[in-house]
Amino acid sequence: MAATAAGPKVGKRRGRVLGNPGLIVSAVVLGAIVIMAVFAPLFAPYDPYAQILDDRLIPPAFIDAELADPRYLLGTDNLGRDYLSRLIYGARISLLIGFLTMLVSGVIGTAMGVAAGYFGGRVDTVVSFLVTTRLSLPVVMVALAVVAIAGGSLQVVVLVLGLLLWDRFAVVMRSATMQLRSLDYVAAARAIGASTPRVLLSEILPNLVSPLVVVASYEMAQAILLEAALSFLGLGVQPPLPSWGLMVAEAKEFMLFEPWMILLPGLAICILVLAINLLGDGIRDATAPEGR
Amino acid sequence: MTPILEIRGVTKRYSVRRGMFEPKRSLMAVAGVSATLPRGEVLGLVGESGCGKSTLAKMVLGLETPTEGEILVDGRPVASLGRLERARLVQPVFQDPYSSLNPRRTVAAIVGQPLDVHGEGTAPERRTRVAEMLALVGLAERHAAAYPNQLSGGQRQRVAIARALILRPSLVVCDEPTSALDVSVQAQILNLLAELQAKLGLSYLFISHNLAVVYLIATRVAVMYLGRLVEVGQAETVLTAPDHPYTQALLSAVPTPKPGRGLPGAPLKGSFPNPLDPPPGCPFHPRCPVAQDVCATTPPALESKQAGSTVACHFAG
Amino acid sequence: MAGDALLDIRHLAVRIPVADGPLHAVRDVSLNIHRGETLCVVGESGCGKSLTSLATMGLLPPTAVRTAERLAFEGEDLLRAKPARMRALRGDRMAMIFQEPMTSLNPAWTIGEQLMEPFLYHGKGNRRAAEARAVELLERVGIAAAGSRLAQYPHELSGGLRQRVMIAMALMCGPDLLLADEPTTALDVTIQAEILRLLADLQREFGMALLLVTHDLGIVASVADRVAVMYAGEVVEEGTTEAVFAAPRHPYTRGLLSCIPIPGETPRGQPLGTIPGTVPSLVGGIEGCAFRDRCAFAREDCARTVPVKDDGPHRWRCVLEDVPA
Repeated sequence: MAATAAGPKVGKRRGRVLGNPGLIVSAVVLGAIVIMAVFAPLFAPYDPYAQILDDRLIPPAFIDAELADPRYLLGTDNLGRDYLSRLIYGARISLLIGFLTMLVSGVIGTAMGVAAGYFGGRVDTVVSFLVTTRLSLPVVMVALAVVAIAGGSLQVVVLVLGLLLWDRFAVVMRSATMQLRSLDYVAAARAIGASTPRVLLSEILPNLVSPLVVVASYEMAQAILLEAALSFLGLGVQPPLPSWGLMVAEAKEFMLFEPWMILLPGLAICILVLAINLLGDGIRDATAPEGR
Repeated sequence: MTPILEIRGVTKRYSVRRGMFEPKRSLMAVAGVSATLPRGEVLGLVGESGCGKSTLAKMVLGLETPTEGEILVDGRPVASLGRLERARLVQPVFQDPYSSLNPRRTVAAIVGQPLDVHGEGTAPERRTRVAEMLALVGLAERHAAAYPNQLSGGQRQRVAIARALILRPSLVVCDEPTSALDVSVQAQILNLLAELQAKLGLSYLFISHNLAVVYLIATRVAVMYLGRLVEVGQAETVLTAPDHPYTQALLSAVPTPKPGRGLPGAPLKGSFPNPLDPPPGCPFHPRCPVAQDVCATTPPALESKQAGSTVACHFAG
Repeated sequence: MAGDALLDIRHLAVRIPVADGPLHAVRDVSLNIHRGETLCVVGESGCGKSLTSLATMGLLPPTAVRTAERLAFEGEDLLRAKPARMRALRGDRMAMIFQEPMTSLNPAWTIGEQLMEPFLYHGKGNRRAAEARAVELLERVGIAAAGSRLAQYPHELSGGLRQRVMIAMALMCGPDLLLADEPTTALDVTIQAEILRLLADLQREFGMALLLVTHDLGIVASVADRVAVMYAGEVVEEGTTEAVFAAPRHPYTRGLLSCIPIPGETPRGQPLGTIPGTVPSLVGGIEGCAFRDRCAFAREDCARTVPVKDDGPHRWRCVLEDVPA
């Protein structure tokens, strides 16, 4: 029976992937952005830092065909830097910060949530207290304050956001772990003599993947948005790094006459965040074990 | 010869608090239970939900520690055993074959996991032992690569049995191993358990609410009510001519697949007592058809009766 | 005989579309039940016994497709009944009890409110009458201090008490037909015995027809007047309880009976009878006898259409003249 069942099962999983357009579109978009970011020097036509002061504020062709310059596909900024190259390099910053923040907060939050859910009792009380404390802190205010004191840099932004965004991981992992802990296969693993770390790593964690993917994608998107906000306020990564948030900030002086300068990085942030969220949901749907 | 399992005066108390400002109360899940399982035999533990039989099973497996008393497996106290040592002596088979297997592992990985944990053998040796084990429980080779959700309930329970036996334990704790299965599958699993017991010289602590199943597989039977043993003896005697009024009520409540016998069981008085507030004296007296004044004050001790059973009742036999 | 039946089901089929094709969950089921009669539908999980009762009530999942030659309740054609008419019948003339007493009561409402709801919904009287009826029925199903129970919430009651409340709720409008789907499976044996006794008493008292769906042949033997054994979506054997248990004619019924140990009667130390193999997949439909792969007496012609044979009211689906004992 199992041999015959293996065929349709693989087929079913493929069906679940192909039958989910959101998953496919978001995977393609995100994949394209990641490839562009990783191989930025290959894709970017120019050095994103190179200023050609003769070619300042050239609009892209679809905005103003007369003023456009075919050498600059998406125009140039007020310092004459190629906008397309800066957007491509900016994806690096956004993805890097989003990914690293998600990693830092994910490790902290998952460790706390799993510990609270598995051990219960005092551990749970302490973790719940920490979560409540963290939830009482306004993220943007704290981030602003810390960055204002420690100075804005990529490392500081990652660290601050990472230390602030673990709450959702902790809450979701705690309740998911509590459900898993009561299942008989966890008791069976303990009965065969598996150590507690082994039970956590081989029985609990693999079954937490689905909720973890969803929270991780959500938090990554959050981190990208927060980085953009901090950079916009001048407290995130510092110029001349090409961050999308920073590009929006730099463009706001020209908002009235060159609105496309805000539109392009804004659109980039929007597309990236949407793609990450859709991908997270899609992966969850496609990887959930069938049946019970 | 030392018995494979010896339970000596075991009590398990949980403290529960119903509201934030209410005082903690103690719930006695198991109260002073003593029992012995000779090597190669099957001790059936029966009782209704909440009687403490599953708590007792968890303590035998070392998943819970007794508040008082001691449990010896193969003459050694469970509490003093390391987790690996204990795992080699006693293994569980659980009720629900859907929640007892990790859905993210293949059958081969599940059955081979104990060998991994104990670092036994090389990879090819483990594969051979897993294959042997699967054959022993009646699964085909092709099942090794399957995931639990591709198997039926009966097949899953066979996987759980294979996992329990691969370390060759002497004692297997079967906690309602057939309750979640259809009758035709239940019969297959019962036959398999009986066959494996004979073939491998196993001893079972067999927990079930189904008296007919216990009658079939157990050599000795212990009946629990509200955390206490009320009757212990040979399966044949206890489940055909019980002495304790509770065992009698339990047995008469089982519907038999023979028409013309009418409705099962004269109903017991009242309802199952609150375990937080057990009745004084004999815990069964408020529902007992033969209770007298003494039952409400003096708890009866387990005493030997003529048929070789021990019964905790002032008026039995 | 079927003409004056309270419930008359002829050639009922339920198909559920799944990814790999239609799942023929119920195939060609014909049953009837008379006033004051207890019919047990027995079978293992997935045999279609619960879907049969849900199909009767018009409570199938929305994707399921129900077809039948006739589905009549008190002579009224339910196949053509509009949803509003079904709602008017359900809870009034036909009521249902489910397996899980823990989840079939709504935790947000008191027992009293839930008990009174069907009575008020079907316009049987005002709140005062509803309350009086609720107290009367709670007492009848053996719940002490019924008046004070009305204000309690489901979580304050034990499983056995909740199932009694469910039974009282089903009886609020005095139904003609009570469908009970595994009503005692989640309960302990002593409580099961009490609930079975209660159902039997109530059935006699109210003159209801009782359709009891169960997997337990022991329950069938103790309460049923007639029994229908289902396998893979079909009724394979049907008849009076005495006839079916005394001389089961279908190999599946025989196999099932040999699987059940009886204390003091089944020989110990010997293997129990079993049915080898597993239930076939019902996706895409089955030609011939669905049991033939597991049957010790299977012959070539089992793959063709299986005749329904009868010996008076005892009917079975098998090609064999007489199954060897």
